[in-house]
Amino acid sequence: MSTRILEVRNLVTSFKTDRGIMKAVDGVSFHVEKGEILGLVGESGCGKSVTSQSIMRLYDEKNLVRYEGEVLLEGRNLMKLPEHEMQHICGKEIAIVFQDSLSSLNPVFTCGDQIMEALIIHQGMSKKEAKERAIEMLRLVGIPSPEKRFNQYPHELSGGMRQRVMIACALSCQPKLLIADEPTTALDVTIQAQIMELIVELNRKLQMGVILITHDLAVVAETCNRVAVMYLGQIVEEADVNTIFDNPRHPYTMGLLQSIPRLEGERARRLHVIQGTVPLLNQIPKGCRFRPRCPYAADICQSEMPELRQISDTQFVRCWHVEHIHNGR
Amino acid sequence: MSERLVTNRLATEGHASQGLASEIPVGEMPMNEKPASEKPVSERDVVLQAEHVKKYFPVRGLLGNVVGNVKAVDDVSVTLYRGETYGLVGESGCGKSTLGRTLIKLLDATAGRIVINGIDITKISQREMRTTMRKKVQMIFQDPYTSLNPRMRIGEILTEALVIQNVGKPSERMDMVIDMLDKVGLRIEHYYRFPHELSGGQRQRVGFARAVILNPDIVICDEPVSALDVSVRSQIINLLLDMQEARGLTYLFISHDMSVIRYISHRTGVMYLGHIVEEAITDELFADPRHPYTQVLLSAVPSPDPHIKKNRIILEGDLPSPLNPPPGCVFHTRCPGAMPVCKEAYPPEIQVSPSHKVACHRYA
Repeated sequence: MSTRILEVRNLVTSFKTDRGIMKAVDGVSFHVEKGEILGLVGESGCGKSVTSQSIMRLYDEKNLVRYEGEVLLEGRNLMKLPEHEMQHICGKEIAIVFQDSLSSLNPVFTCGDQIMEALIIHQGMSKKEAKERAIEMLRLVGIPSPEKRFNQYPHELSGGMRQRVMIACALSCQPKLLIADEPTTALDVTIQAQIMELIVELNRKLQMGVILITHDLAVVAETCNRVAVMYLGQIVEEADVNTIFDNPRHPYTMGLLQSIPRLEGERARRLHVIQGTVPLLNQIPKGCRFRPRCPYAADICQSEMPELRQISDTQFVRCWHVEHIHNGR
Repeated sequence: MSERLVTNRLATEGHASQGLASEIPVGEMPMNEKPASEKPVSERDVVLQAEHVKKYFPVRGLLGNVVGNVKAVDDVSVTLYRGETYGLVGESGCGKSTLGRTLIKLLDATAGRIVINGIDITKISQREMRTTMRKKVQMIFQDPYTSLNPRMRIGEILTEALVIQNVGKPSERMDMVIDMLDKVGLRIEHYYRFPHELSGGQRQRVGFARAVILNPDIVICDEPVSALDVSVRSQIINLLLDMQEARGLTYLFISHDMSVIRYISHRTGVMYLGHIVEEAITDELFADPRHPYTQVLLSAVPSPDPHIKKNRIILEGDLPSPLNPPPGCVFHTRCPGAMPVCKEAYPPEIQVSPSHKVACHRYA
């Protein structure tokens, strides 16, 4: 039990908009173990980034957003904490790496300053200590000549280097949980390989939990231990990584897996297509949310929403037809 | 026109009534039995031939004098055959988009010859290009959000292309547009919609319709699916394949995604720092990559199968600046197998098989 770093229970995040209240995340539950990489997968608009940012409560709570449910960090409910206490947790115990490193780093401070800032605030280090530590961090994430990079501004670095600086910032206080939100999406494959390797290595070395948010199933296959697939604000399937890829049971997971072109094997004649597109949040279908695009849809799918049911030790699926659908691959 | 139909018939050997290809519903088209590139050379019909194309962007100093050149494309030769898809793959900054734009004269080549349908487009003016050639060479872009005018309705966007190129009578144009919308999988009601009302995939369909409505020979596809979600991406890829089948289109497909390139293209060229370092029939390139850079690229692509553990070749360092590319082989600064000769001379192009070329000293 004590190895469970994060537990999210029935998280609901709803935004107030001109078109009414929209639930971007609707009843999401999952957990992250120590030293584990959990993949959160889905297409754009499925709520995976909102989920991660809700864990850190990054949205403006006074006006726009309402959270429900519980987020337990080692048993402590973050949703109940006052905001000033939350500030001690963000950055220190939970850190996040965003996709776009150019807009997430402050352009008017050097990379070194930005890493030192967290150390001085959270660890109460002196400037000198913080500088030593920051250089050490830059070295840890594989940046060559860190003393020189310490004094450079973000725009002077390449995309891959900036992403490393982001990771160095995030890891400087040795967080228990790292949220990596599409950390390699803007990068080339060779750089992506370097960054993912770095995240996996640090995850092993520092034994922190990692939530890896991505739409790239191949990255998930290579790095994650467990995977949760999201669709329209809900988790539709969750399982360990081998099960997800070998024996997916939700029609959406199956469809996603079939529609990726592969490097190995035969080139199929046509790519598999999931019909239609992800609906907007104000047009969420009744019943099962995937029904309008699902090849197996039946009457019950229209009238009632399926629950996320456990079908084996490690696999959970939200579908009425689990018993009838088998891996179509 | 008749020529196109003939090649089209060739490209789909054996399927009945291919002469009326464009009238067959797009969704039901069979895939190419045999891509054009696998036929004997004599049967192939060259649509575009580029020889020793260079595109340099001058860099000016304080006084406005030219102090250097960014060698975005440096001595590239490429041939496109009718009805094929040529995949161009490489990392950002390697010059693949610049090459695509130069080949259809959106940018003027610094040096070299580009012959499309028998006309050397480096010798004609932009104006002539617009009036005589532009209809034949079209382009679709990566970002479907910014490549459509937000103030125009979809119908107007497509009609504009016809008006500019003076295709069809004004009275017929609306029908042509609606017909085209149908072919790319949109509905009549989209005619009066604005781009912001459409999803990303639908916008990419509009961009593609705008290119294809002029009945071009060549479509340059610059990362057309990179901004799209997985499920939408496969819809667009299938659409591209169906249209190629129905109309005998030739694609230059630019992408950084190796698995998409492998799926869609008949032949593939790998670019690094302004040079095509390896070129082969796609299956051959993926089965037997020869250039060290191609090997690195392929090893870096993650595989969507947790049981496959790859032996990664991790590249050292970053891409050198194209302003000051390394002497000799441009890849030697990062190449795991660099030899002394690599620093001195750019490697000759070596034909390792009839359909496989590589520029590397290792095979000399």
